[in-house]
Amino acid sequence: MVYFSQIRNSAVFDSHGKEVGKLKDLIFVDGKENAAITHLTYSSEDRTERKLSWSLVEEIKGDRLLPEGPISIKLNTKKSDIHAFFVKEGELRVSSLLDKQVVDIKGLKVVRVNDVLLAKVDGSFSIIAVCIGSRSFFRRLGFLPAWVKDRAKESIIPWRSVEALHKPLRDIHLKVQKQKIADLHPEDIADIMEDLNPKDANLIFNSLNLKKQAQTLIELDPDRQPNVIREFKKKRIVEFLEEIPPEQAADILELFPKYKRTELLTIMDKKVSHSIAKILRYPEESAGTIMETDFVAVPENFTVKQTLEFVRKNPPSSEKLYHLYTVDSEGRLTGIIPIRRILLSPPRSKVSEIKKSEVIYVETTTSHEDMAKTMSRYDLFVLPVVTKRKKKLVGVVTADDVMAEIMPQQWRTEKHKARKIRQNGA
Amino acid sequence: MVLDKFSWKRILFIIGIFGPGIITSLVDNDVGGITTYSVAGARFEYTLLWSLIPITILLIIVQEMCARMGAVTGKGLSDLIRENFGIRTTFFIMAGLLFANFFVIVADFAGIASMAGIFGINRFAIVIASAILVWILTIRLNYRFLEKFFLFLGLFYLTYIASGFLAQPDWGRVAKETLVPSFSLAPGYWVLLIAIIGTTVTPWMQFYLQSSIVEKGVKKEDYKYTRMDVILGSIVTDVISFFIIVSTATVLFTHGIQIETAPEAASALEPFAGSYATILFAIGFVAAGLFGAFVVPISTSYVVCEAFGWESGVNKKFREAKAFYILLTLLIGLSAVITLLPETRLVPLILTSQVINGIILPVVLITILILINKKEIMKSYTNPLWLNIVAWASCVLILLSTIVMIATSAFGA
Repeated sequence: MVYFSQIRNSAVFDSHGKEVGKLKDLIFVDGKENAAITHLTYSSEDRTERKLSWSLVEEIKGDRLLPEGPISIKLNTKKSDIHAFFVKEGELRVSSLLDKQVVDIKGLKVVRVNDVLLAKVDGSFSIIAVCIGSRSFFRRLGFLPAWVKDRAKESIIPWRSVEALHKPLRDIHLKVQKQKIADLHPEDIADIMEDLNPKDANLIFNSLNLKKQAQTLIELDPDRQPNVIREFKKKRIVEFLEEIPPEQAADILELFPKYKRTELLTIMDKKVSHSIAKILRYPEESAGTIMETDFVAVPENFTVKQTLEFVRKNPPSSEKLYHLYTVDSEGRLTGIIPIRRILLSPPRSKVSEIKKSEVIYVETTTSHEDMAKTMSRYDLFVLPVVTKRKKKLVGVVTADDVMAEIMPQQWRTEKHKARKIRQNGA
Repeated sequence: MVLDKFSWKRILFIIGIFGPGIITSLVDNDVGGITTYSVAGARFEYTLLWSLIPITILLIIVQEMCARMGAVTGKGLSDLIRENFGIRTTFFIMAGLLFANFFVIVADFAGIASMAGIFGINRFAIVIASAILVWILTIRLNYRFLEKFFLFLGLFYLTYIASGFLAQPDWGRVAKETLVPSFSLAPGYWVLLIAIIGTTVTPWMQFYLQSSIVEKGVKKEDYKYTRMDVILGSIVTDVISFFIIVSTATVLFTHGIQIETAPEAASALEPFAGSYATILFAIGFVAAGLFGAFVVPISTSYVVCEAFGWESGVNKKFREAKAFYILLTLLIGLSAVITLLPETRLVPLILTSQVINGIILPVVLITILILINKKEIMKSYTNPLWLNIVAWASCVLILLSTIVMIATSAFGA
């Protein structure tokens, strides 16, 4: 194991012990777990930078007494036999990692690279981690005070959980099949984005797919949302809003000024814009604004078998499928059936026989607070939402959505608490 | 569509971008600045007023470059220094900046303390209360809100404009002295002129301005509004300086009253311009001190953490952003304690800090000039040739002034 700071500027000797030049940089190709070093570069006598294949390196040698001191490099070839090449543009250099910000996708934070850790893995010399923290910091500065040496451990982030932010490394990085920011939970992506300057945050945002973008945008600190949204072209916003559940689309639309909102709704797919517009019309802080419109309702005369087939054919995209509802020909709510009951009932029985007709429901205009009270009083975590006059079933509200609305604003900024608990639990 | 361009939304958006330039410039008129202008007015009447116009231009030139870098690169100045100059240069600049800014905060608290007498409050009480207020508000409020609070604090500077009018100057002569440069051979004249330049451009403000523009997420296309913000901020600041000079010149010079400090200036106003003038002057001064005590610690903590890659932000828990919180707390707490030292111990410390500032400033200005001309990071937004010439000339001027200022205060001490 060596640190890049140890071999940078160290002498490169040929097989006869003659100095070839001073090592300037290392060139690498990215990989899933580690990134293999392919070449070293050095400054030759004519002061140009040349590169040599890393396979020419016979050994790298340091002083045993100075574990973090300078190291010399010995080649297996005579100086006169060496064919050095010029360095091409766009090659990935280890030095380009230094001092840059990268995202630690395991630790979910943005850090600055002080040094790079290299080691021989599976026969090839590779980047295995980037170093952060005070020990690597002082090593780079060129003096390692005793108190740092004794106390500060090397803190590193393994290469597989590093995501770079600057080009060209990022472009290549994204192509390599490794865990990426895009694979994280939207809440965590939002957290990382909040740690970055708006420009880098947008860079990450743009690498997400539409659905993830929508989810992340909603999780983002309200102060940061406008910055992200401003980046969008009109057409893209529309695509984006059509993709996500209408209640989320409505949330996002609310971030726009009113004139823009209307404009977007008019150019959108009519069906989608209709359902979004409906949600936007509900009073603020009412059930209508947070309900999910993606629920399963069947007619009274369905059998259990028919119902299950129906669910299979029209699976709700939400994972929160706890209940089914029965409705009459007008779409009015007539009963509720817990999934458990459907699963345990014989296939031929009618849903009207197993439903509970005593349904606790709320109206689209019911306030968040009243919903919370209803849920708590009747020990429910899902409430059907009906229209005020006709009692037509239009959506469902789950306890987590209500909780998100009624908890104090302060808690929302304390995301790190939730994050820590989840990490420890997982 | 044309209408759309002039809509209220557009105007609100532009106002939203405003702030960093004005706040930075206002804080620039700190305790030291106000003292210098008061003394300038009292000793040389209106004859130094003309210098405010070139100084405004100087301020605009330096600040515009940082603002442009922020908008184009989306990165703070310490970020850019770390990524382009490596770890050693960064360490050197940050260590210097930390030390220099620490004394900027000390000076702000000292300024607040010096006015204690005028309000009839105990010196210790006012400093400790201010430090606690600053610490709590900084930790508890989010930065967006703090920024609005700063703009509100900025309104206190209006008291200087009021003082200026209360003094009832001869506006005809004021106008002439402002527009037509006049030189005096009096011994203190040049020293004071240089001091005015030296107090105008300081290292911390470059970092603060650029970071707050990045934080706003200003884009290249909207940079023109940020430039307006910077220009407007510089002008507003010097308009305030103008009124400080006018008020002390009209009242104190005319009656031959010599002053050395701002509290002296405030008290001296009373017999001639009434107790309102004194109180207004003192309130403005304390607000300036508080303003600096708010802005400098938090921005210094952010900048240093940003450069070294430590987690920062008041929305983080102490355990997550230890370095940030320790730094912030030490900057506020320690500087308040030092302020309460007897004055004789304070003088050599402040002198040292001036020297450090003098060393850091050229380094920072040169890094700015190098960075802004780098095509890789600034793309087509590098300096045009004429601006480079003007900017280098301005830097040399600022450097010379700083050196002379240090030399004179060293001899004075």
